[in-house]
Amino acid sequence: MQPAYRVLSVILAILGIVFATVLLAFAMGWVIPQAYLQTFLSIPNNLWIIGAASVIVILLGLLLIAMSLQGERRSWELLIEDAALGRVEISVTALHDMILRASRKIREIREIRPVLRYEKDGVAVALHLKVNPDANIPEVSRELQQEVQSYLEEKAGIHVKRLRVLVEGVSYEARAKVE
Amino acid sequence: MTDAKKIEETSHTTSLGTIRIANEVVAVIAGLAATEIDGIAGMSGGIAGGIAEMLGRRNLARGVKVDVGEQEAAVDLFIVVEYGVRIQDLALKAQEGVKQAIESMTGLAVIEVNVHVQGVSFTEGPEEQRVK
Repeated sequence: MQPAYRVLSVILAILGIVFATVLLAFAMGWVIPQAYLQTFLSIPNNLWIIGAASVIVILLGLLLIAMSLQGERRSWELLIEDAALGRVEISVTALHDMILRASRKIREIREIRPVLRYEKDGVAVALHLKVNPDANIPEVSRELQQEVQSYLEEKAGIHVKRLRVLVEGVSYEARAKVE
Repeated sequence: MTDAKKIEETSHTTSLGTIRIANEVVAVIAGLAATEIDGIAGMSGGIAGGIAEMLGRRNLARGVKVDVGEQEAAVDLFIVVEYGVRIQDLALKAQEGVKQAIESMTGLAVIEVNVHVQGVSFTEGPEEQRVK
């Protein structure tokens, strides 16, 4: 799920909870919010504030509906095989997942972000990493390259044209031994 | 066309009358055949499919697109695979399984079964767990 979709959902959910709680208070006879609301609404400038806030909430709600209806974008797909029975293609999302999964075996890697580019005769991969502070970076990088390349070529049948490893930082929170 | 939603279907006339198969039926047959293949973790259906399943509505045609003619059908499968499987082998099994299921149940000739791998399942098998 896209991060923006999640954030928007949380914001609107919180607004909905607050609004429903206030209405519940009214229903149960709690008069203080009603009195406060009447005082607030009697000031003309405050009506503008309420109007503007309402428009924003309506727009956010419409945006959320639009994002829901859009569905997941199909990311680009790489052709693995084209035989008599049909084509076999793999999406870049699936390749990302495979790389993330293959890199899990290497405990020294704290975070990894694969970037893939489709080229004429294969795939170029760049792996952006954060490693644990005690990692031997050249060794970890070599191990990662071998692991990812062999996994993609053996299991996905794609040719890895180039595989770069970019160590972007060191994470000072060591990865938990037990997850 | 009646007021009811028009259902896409294939019709076949015999001496006794017309046999009609809704396209969704072909999609469901394909979906069921695909999910029975070891190595396929599930079908990829997007956000709408996910919400429908959360509400308890199981969509057996999720992740399947069919193009059905009078006598032939073409199928597109959108699948999520399990980690560690060899995709070419798995795709071949899926293609053969779906083709056989549709042809035997509907009599349609399947001209192609295209497999689109959309993701990899992150569920660990028992042999992969470090701590038990």
